[in-house]
Formats: sequence, C-alpha cells, structure tokens
Amino acid sequence: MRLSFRARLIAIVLTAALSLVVLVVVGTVTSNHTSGRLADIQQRHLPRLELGPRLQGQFERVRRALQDAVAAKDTDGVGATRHLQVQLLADLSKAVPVLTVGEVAAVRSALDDYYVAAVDVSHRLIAGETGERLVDAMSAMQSKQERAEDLLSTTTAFDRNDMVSAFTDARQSQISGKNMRLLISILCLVGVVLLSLWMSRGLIGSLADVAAGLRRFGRGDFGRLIPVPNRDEVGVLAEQANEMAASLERAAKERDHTDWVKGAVAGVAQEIRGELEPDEVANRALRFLARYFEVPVAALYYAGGASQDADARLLAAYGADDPTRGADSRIRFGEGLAGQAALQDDVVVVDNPPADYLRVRSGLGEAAPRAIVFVPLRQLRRARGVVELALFGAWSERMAEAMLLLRESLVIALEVALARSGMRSLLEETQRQAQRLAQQEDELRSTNEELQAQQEELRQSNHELADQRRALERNNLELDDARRVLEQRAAELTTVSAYKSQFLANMSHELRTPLNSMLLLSNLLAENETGRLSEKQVEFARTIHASGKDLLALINQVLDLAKIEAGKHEVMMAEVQPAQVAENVERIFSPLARDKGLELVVEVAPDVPGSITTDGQRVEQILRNFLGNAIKFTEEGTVTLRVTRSDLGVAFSVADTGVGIAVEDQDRIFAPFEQVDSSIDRRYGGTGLGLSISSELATLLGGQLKLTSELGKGSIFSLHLPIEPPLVAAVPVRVQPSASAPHGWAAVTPAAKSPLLVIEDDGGFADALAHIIRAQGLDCLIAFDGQTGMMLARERKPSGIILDVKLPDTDGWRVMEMLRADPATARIPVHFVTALDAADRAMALGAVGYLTKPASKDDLVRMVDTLTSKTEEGANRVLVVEDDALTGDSVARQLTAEKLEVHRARSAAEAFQALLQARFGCIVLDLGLPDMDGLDLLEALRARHGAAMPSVVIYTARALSKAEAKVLEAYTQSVVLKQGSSAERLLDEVRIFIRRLKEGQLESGAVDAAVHLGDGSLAGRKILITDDDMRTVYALSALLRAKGGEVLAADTGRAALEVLEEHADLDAILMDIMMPEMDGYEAMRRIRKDPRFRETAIIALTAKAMKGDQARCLEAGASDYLTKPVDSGRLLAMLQALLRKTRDGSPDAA
Amino acid sequence: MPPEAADGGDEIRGFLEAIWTRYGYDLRGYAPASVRRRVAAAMAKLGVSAVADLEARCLETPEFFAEVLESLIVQVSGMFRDPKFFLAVRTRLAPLLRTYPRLDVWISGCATGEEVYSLAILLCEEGLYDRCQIYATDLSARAIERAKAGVYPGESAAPFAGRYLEAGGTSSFANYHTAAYDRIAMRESLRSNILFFQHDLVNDHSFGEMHVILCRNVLIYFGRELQQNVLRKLAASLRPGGFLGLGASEQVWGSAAGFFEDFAADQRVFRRGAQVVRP
Repeated sequence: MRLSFRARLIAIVLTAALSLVVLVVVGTVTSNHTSGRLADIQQRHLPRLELGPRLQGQFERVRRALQDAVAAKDTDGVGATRHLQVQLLADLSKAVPVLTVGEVAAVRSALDDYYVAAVDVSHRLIAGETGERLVDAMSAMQSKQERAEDLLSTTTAFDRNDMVSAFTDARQSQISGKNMRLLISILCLVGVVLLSLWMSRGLIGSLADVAAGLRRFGRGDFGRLIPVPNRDEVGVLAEQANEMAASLERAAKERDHTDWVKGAVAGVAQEIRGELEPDEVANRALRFLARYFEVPVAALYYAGGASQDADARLLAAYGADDPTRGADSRIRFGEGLAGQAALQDDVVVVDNPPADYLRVRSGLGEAAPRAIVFVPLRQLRRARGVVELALFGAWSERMAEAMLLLRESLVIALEVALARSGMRSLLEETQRQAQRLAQQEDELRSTNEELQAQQEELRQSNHELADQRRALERNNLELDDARRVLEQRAAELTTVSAYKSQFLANMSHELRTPLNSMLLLSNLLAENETGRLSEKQVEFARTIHASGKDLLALINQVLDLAKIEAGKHEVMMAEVQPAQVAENVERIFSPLARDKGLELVVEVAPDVPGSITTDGQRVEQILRNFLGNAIKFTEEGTVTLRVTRSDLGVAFSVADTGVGIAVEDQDRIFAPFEQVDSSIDRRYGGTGLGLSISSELATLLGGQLKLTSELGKGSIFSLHLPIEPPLVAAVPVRVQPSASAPHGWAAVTPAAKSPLLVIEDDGGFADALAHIIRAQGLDCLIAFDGQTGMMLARERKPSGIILDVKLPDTDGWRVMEMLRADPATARIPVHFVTALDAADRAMALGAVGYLTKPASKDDLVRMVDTLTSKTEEGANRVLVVEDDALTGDSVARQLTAEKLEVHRARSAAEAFQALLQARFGCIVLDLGLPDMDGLDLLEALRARHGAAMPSVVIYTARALSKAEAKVLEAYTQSVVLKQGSSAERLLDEVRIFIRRLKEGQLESGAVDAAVHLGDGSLAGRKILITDDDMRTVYALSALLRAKGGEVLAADTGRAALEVLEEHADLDAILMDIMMPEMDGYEAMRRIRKDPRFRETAIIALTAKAMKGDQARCLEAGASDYLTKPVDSGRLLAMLQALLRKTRDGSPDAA
Repeated sequence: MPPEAADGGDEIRGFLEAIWTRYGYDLRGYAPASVRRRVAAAMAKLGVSAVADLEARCLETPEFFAEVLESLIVQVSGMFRDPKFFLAVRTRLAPLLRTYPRLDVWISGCATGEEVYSLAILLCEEGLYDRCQIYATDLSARAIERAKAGVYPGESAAPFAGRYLEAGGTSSFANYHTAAYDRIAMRESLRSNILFFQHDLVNDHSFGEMHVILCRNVLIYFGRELQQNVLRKLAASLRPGGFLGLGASEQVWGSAAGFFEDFAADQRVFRRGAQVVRP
C-alpha cells in the first residue's frame, strides 16, 4: 500500500522540522558551553587584573592618610580617613563575584583590624605617647598591616593558566558544535530530498490523467471516465471529476429536452405573433407543430366565439386528405374521441389506433399512424377546443410537455384573434352604421322639410276645404241663380253659335250666290255665243271670271284659316295609304297639267310604308296646294310628285321646273298674305294664303313643310309627316328671346373696384395671374415692362401691384423705388413675385409681401387676397365724440375691452382736431354736442373727407323721427338709439365696421372709380332720385354728383311730384317702383299726365325681373328701366343716351 | 331620384320649364316631391287628367295658368303661427330693435298676410311700429290682394286670439280687428306702414337692406340649390346685424350659413354677420 499524499507531505515536513530542532538543540548546547567558558573568563579572570592594584592602592591611601595625619598631629585628619576606609570596604564588597564571599570577609576583617589598630596608634602618636606599649602597639599594627597587604595580594592574584585553559575550553566546544550542526544539516537535506522524490513519483501521472479527462468532459465527451488507480487524493479527484461529468451529461440531456420544448413553445409563439385571423393562427400553429413534431396529420378545432361554446369547428387541418372528411369539420364537446378529449385537462393518447381509423396517404403510399393524440385547449377551465395529432412515431414526453406549455399561448392567441375579428367586424359594422346614420340624418332633414311642406300643404288643403265648404254653402244658395243664369247663357250661347253658323252659312251662301251668278254670267259672256262682243270685251269677261274664281278661293281659304287659327279645325286621324293619296291628287291634277302642256309624274318609292296614321283630307289639301302652285308657276317642263321615306316618316315632295323662289324670300313664303312679289300676284293670281294654311295644317298633323328652291330653276315643296302622329299635337309656342336683364341678383354695393396691376415679363405667368385675379372679381392690368407698369400705375391707380424683379427694361427694385417716390403711387400696396430669393430687400422697400416662383395657385390666390385686403391704417382706431363724460367713459371702456384704440373728443372742435391728427376706422358720434349740431358735423365731415369719410356710428338719446332718421341714413346706416340693448348694439356696429374695414370691404373708392365710367359728363343736368331707401339715394347721388349733375331726392312718389312742382326744369328722374304712399307706377303716370314732363327722361328702378313688370314700367311712362341693384356704368350710359335724345329731340318738340 | 322618373318627373320638369318660358314664373328649383304633389293637386282641382293637358291649357290661357299657379304654390298662413317665435321676437329681438331709429322689415312669402298683421300688432305693442316700414311680398298676386284686404273668416278669430296671448300679447286681439258678416277685418291703422306687393323671391332682385326679414316656411318648398341661392339673396338683403326669421323646420345651412350667426336659433332667428355677399 502506498502512503497517502498527505502522509507523505507530512513526513517531509516532519523530517524537515525534526532536523531543524536537532540543529537548534545541538547549536544551543554547544554555544552554551562556549559562552559559559567565556563568561567565566570575563567575570572571574578579567576583573582580578585591575582589582588587586585598585584595592591595594586604596589601602595605601588609607595608610598614607593616617601617616599624614600623624605627621600633622591632626586628630581630625585621622577621623577623616574614616571615609577612605569606608570607600575601600565598599569597593571590596563590590568585588564579590570576582572574589568569593569568604575571601572578601577575610580581607575585610584583616583590613578592619589594621585600621582599628592604625587609628589607635595614630591617636597615641599624636597624643605623644611613647612607650613600649606603644611600640608594641606599633609592631602589632605593623603585623596587621602586613597581613592585610598579604591577604589582599593573594586574594587578588591573577591565575594565567586557569584563564588560558578556560579560553581553550571555550574554543574547543565551539568547534565541536559547528561540526555537529553541519553534519545534522546535511543529513536532514538528504532526507527531505529523498522523501520528495518518492512522493512526486506517481502523483504527476494521475494528475495528467485527470487533466486529460477534464479536457474531454469540457468538450462534452463523457464517454470515457478518468481511471482511478488508488484512493489517494488524485484518485478522489478523478472520481469527483467523473461524477461531475456524469451530472454534466445529465444536465446537457435535460437542456436538450428543455430546448426542444422551448423551441416548440417559442416557435408556435413566433408563428402566431401579429394580428392574425383565427384561421391563420390555427393554420400557422399547426404547420409549425407538424414540422416540429414530425407529425403527418394534424387538426385544430376551436369554439367559434364566446357565445357558442358547445362545439368547436375545424379551424385548421394539416396533412389530412380532405379536411372535411378526414376530420370532422365540427365536433361537439363531450362527444366522440376528440370531443371527450376536449373536456379533459390532460393530453389523451390513443396508441395503435385501428388500422382503418385513419390512413395517412402520400403520393407514394399510405400507412396507419401509430398514435392519435388529443391535446385539449382550455381557457379558464373551459373547454375551448382540441388539437388532434396523428403520429408515426411514439408520443414522447417532451411532446406532451411542449404541447401543455404551448397550448396556453395558442389559446390566448386564438382568443385574441377571435376577439379581434369580432371587434373588427363590430368596428366595420359601426362604421357602416355611422355612414348610414349620416345618410339618414341628411335624409331626415329633407324628410323633415318635406314633412313640413306636406303639413303646410295639408293646412292649405284644409283652408281650401274650409273655403270650399263656405263657398259651397254660399254657392248652394247662389247655385240656383247661377244655374238659371247659366241656362240662360247656354241658351244664348246656342243662339249665338247658331247665329254664327248661320252667319257663316249665310256668308258663304250670300257671297257665293252672287259670285256664282257672276262666274256663270262672266263665263257665258266670255264664250261670246252671240258673237256680239268684241275681242276686248271677251277678254274683260274672262278677267271678271278669273277674278271671281280667285275671290271665291280667297273666301274659302279665309274661312279655312280662321277656323284653324281658332282651333276649330279638327284633325281626323285615320289609316291612310300614301300611294292612294298620290293617286287621288294625280287624278285631279293630270287634266290640268295636260291642259297646260305639262307632264305630271307621280313616283312612289318602294320603301314607303303601306299606311300611315294621319288625316288624309288635310294631306290632300296640302298636296293640292303644292300641285296647284307648281302647275300655276310652271310654264313648261315637268311637275313631279314623289312619295319617299324621310327622317320623320314619309315625305310628299312636289318638284317643278318653274320660276323658283329666291333664297331671301323663302322664309316669308309661308307667312300669310305674302307673295314673292306683287308682279307674280298680278300674273298668276291667288291669295297667298294657301301655303300659310298648308303650313298650319302640317303642324297640326305633327309634320312640317320644307322648301328647296333656286330662282329660275324650279322649287321643291315637301310635306314631311310622321308615321304615327305625336300624342299631343305640338302647340306652337312663341319662344321669345329671354330678357337681357340679368336674372339672379348681385350684392348691393356695386363691384366697381379699381384693378390690380401685374408687372411681369413672362406672358404665361402674367396670364395665369390675370386669370386668378379676375376669378376674384377684380379687373387686372398687365404690363410687360417697368415703364409701362409705371405709366399704368400712375394713370389707372390700381388697388394693388404684383411686381416681378426681372424686367426687360429695368428691374423691379427700381420700379418699386419709382412707385414710392411718386406721391400718386406711393400708397399702392406692392407684392413681389419673383424667382429671386431676396425677400428682405423687397420688404425693406416697403412691399406688402414677397412670393418666390414657382408658386402654387393657392399661393397666388393668397397673394391676391393679401393685396386686396390690405388693411387701412388706423382701422383699429375709434374716435368717441361725446360731451357727457360718463357716457363717453362707458363707451370708451367697452370699446377698449374689444382691443380697440379709443380716442375721445368732447366737442366738434375736438373731433376735427383729432381727425386732423390721425386716421380713424370709425367714429362714434353723439348728435347733441355743445358746439355743433350732429348733422352739421356730419355734413362738415362729408365735405372734408368726401367718399373717404370714416364710418360713423351715431349714438344718441335724441328721439328721432322717421324723417330725421332718413336724413341721417344719408350719412350712415348705423344709428343707435340709447334705448333697449343699445350698449350691445353699439358694440356690434363698431365691430362690423372694423371688420369690414380690415377685410377691405368698405369701398370708399367706388364713386371715384365710377367717375371714369362712361363718357361725357352730367354737368348742368338736374336729376331727381326717388327712392325710399336712403342708401340707394346717397349712393346714386354721389355717383351723379361726381359726374357733375345736380341731384334732388324724394322718398315717395308723392314727394317726387312735389319736387317736380318746384323744379319744372328737371332733366331726368330715377324712379323706384316699390315705395310707400305712392308707388313708382302711379307717380310716373301722374308725371306723364303733366304736359311739361312728357318728354322728361324717367328711368324706373325695379327689383323685379319678370318681363311683365318691366313692360308695366314702360307702360306707366318710364323711358327705360334698370334692375336693382343698380349698376353704375349702365345707369350712366342709359342716362346719357336718354339725355342726348331729349336734347336732340326738344327743338322739334318745341 | 328614380321614383320621380316613374312619377313623370320629366313631364313635370317640362311643364315647369314651359311656364318659366311662357310666364316667367320659375318653379324649376322647387323641391321635386312637393311640386309633384302640387301638380297633382292642381290637376285634381281643375279636372285635368294629364300633365300634358295641364301644360297645354296653361300655355293657351293665362287665366287658366293663374288658377293653376294658385294651386301650385302653398298659400297657408295664420295669425301668430308658432307663438313661441313671436314671443322670441318680442322678448329677445325687440330690445335690440329699439335702438334703431328706423326699421325696414320684409316679410317674404307673406301669403294671405296673417303673419304680416301678427308682426304689425307685435311691433305696435312694443312701440316700434311707427318707425317701421314693412314690405310684405308674395309670389302670388292674388294672395297679395287678399293680404292687402286683411279680411279673414270669422271663425279664425278665436284661434288667432289664443295664439296672440301665447305669443305674449299685452292687449286683446279683438282690439285689432272688426268683426262683421262672419268675417274679421284687420284695423286700417295696422296697414299704414305696410307696403304689399308681388315679388318673386326666386327671380326678382333684392330691393334694399332690411333690418328684419321673415321668410317663414318658404324654403321648405325649394330644392337644395335654390335654398342656397335664396339664403344668399336674403343675406344680401339684410344689413349687417340684421335679423332673419325662418320657419320651424328651416335652417341656415351650407355655404350660405357663413353669412349668419345664431341669435335665437331655437326659434330660428339668425343674425347677419359682417361678411359681404358677393354675387
């Protein structure tokens, strides 16, 4: 057996430690011995070397001191030696280690003996004692001295040998100790090395095995274990490593398992992520599972919605031949294998199902699955569906685990998808409903209106019914009377009718009878049977006969035409054969033609319908007229009657080779009593009524007449008839050209705005701009270069200028500078539009805007808007003219709250002062000022500012009569009485003015612009304006005054008559129609009655558009009329035209 | 609409076109359903069986057309109809009207004039009548004649009086009329500031800037486009801040709505804003 690694390690350590201990011990022993020797030398031998002499010296000093004291006979000196003696004894005591205690004691006693004897002798000598005794004492003392000295020297004698041997001894022990240590060290070293070698042998091999094994494990190779040769630490290590490898191997297997399961879960999750339809979720999940589980057939059933949870329908199938056959498309929970499984919580596995249960087919073959697995899908412990899988392999644990894990997310995804699809369909439904709602709302509105209208109509009917009932009651009473009257009338009518018939009959009889005899007789005369008449007379008789015939025809035709025009002509529609008609007329006219030597040809085209519905009599009448004319006007050649098909249906055309009709006469020929020229009449006779009648008849039959003719070459008259007549015969409606007066309506203020000027060398762009500007109802001037632009700007005073920078002759900057330099153009707003990017420069020059080309249409429109709505300076400034401080304060406070800049004036003088200093958008004026009447102030304002007078709101407590109010209206329409909600009203009025001013809607320049309208002036003309609308009066008088006219005004017809009484020299009158007291019609009639005003120009102003109303104006005496709102240009043009006429006409009239 | 065609919409359109050409009465923009009913009513009343006959006879005789026109346009009215409207005029409008020294009032589509007299009575009681000039117009000349006469069936006096009180009348309705021969005749004094005349809202022009316009239950007979045109015309006939009163189921709407602000929208009273109406 081998020692363990630890034991060996311990052995080495112990060996080393032991060697160390031995070494230390040996070293210590030897060195102790040596140091003992040396200490002995030091303590015993070395101090003796100096102790002897020192003690002897001290003893000598004591002896000498005593001798000196004796010699000096000094007793005290003797006493003084005492301390020396003590010193000696003390030093002696200190020498104890050097001397033994015994030696010290012996020396001490000897020294003491001597001293005592010496002191005694000394004292005796000093005392002078002599004697024997003394000598004795001295000899004793001497002996004692010698003994002490002796003892001292012996005891302190130095033994050299002894010391040398001590040194030698010490050296010996030191050398032996050193040798001993060296020996022991070598022995230990050798032992340890041997032990180590022994230990490392075998350990290295084992460790290499372990390392190799660990490397294998690291690579995942757990196949070979590390060999365990013995149970030492490496062996244990190898065993541990093997165990570790084993557990690692287990872990890896487990990880694979988990990874697979997780892969399944994550894969499904990945597949069904996103907003999918439930079917798509199921499909994707199944597809993935089939792939992952290697399952050939799979199906997923799921309950449709929250409400239907008794069964589940097939959402997806994979690998089944026919999803609806191979797998039931619907399962009921609790029924069948799948249904049952769906109710479980766990997976249900059916191993080895019967071979005919399910066959998995492919193109190459088929097999029965080895197992069928049902994985129930549950939500909140409710069965929701089931996944069915058919496997070829075995159902593994990890599949089960994966299915159990992933079914949860599958269920969630399906539920979410179901909910979403439910929600989406709800959303769509909601949207549809919202649309329907909007439609219905619209419909409801119109239905409401419709209902209201019906209600009104119902009321109307009720009213009518009530009226009728009342009328009925009355009528019942009157009915008898009426009936009697009626009967009487009827009788009368019958009589009248009879009279008329009789008259007509009489007429024809009475006329025809004499005519008849005349015809007969003239004929007889013409035959001249008696031969008594001259040739000439016969000729006369013939003429009488012919004229008589003509007269008869005329009478017939006049009656005929009268009948048609009276609507008495009745049309008898019947089936008529065109060929038959042609034959009939041919029969009548062929003898006539033959008589005249003409050929009459009748042709009926084969495609003419066999019959048409019309009045055959009338058709023949027309054809007779045609043929009669043709034969009459044709001297030689052919007359042809053709029956053909035409656009309308059937055409009967009569062509002749006669004189023909000139193109310019062709229109007149159908008019009654028209003939091409009187000479024809004379040559051919006839009434000229025939074609008129024919034309009327043709219309009556729903057809028409046509004429093609050339002078001298003959004519073709044709009658076009429809195959079926129209249900209602076209009633000739005389369509008049619609009146030139514009219908619709216009804003009250005339749109006479000054134009915009475009200075732009790019023609296309300029045109586009002009288009946009005109679309906004403004005129547009275009200049292609700067010079023209400047000229137009000066002359036409445009309301705004659109300026390009790049111009052919100069640049826009220069034009801008010139515009600003000229006072006439300095205030015109200018907007740049250019391809250059230099907005800063443009704005610095004072442009109102800058637009970079290319610009969109919207940009351009906005630009035009900017130019036209350029607000006037001071639009927000309001001047309150009010003498009462309290009222003024309150008004000012209100207006200030509206963010308006309010200035105050307490008198007219102050107001004028303020107006000189600043421009105001609006003036609030009290009429009762201390220094000036409100009206005078207004007049002064008008005189000073003219058309540019600021808007005025009158704010007054004065009770105004209607007349006063009207006078005020000439200046302003905004008169606010301090009654009722006047504060509110005042604010509204001011707001309206400010807003209109800002939007550039106050057209103060309208009158100025109108001055340029038309030519000529009205200087010296006196014109009366009669209108109850003071605004119209004011606007028109401003216009007429601007043209130099003198203007008078009246607000009713009566007032106009009064004015006329005073001013008989009026040149023209503008007359409104709708006026209180006396309207315009009546006024005009009365004016015209006065001979002085028969020729005066009167222009009626009417809001009515109907022709009848305008005719009424003329009837009442107006020279002409204008529709309201009055267009300034037209008014001026009309006035000037009328005035010129009366002026030209007056000399004749006078 | 398809039913229109089936109901002879083309025929009716042709008829309207014909009377527009012939007489200048433009009913072409009227609401088709209403026109259809009115034409049917006219035919029933006059014993004509086909639209074509109606048309032919209308074109033939102006007198006949006048009869037809009476049936085509609904002429129904009553004193203080919708008393709440008149109450609103009295309580909410009158305080503002008091601040005007003079008032131009236009009642368009006044029919037989009941509404005109109602407003006149109200203005009298509010002390505003003397400063008013009332223009009362209607398409129908006959209706205008009747309105001018101001004579109504006697049995209508009681409902008129009831509504007069509902509309906030401060006196008695009887003070404003004389009853005789089963008729009531409105007092002459009520007529002094009223000018009645025939005026076609569709074709005729606006004749001034009014302070107040009542055009109640007129728009309902018009088609949508015509309604817009008429609303614009009414806007053009109102001075800024003026008031427009419409019938209960009428509304300012569409692009024309921009000219108006709500004033008492619950009673269909609107106020003209500051925008200029451009033709």
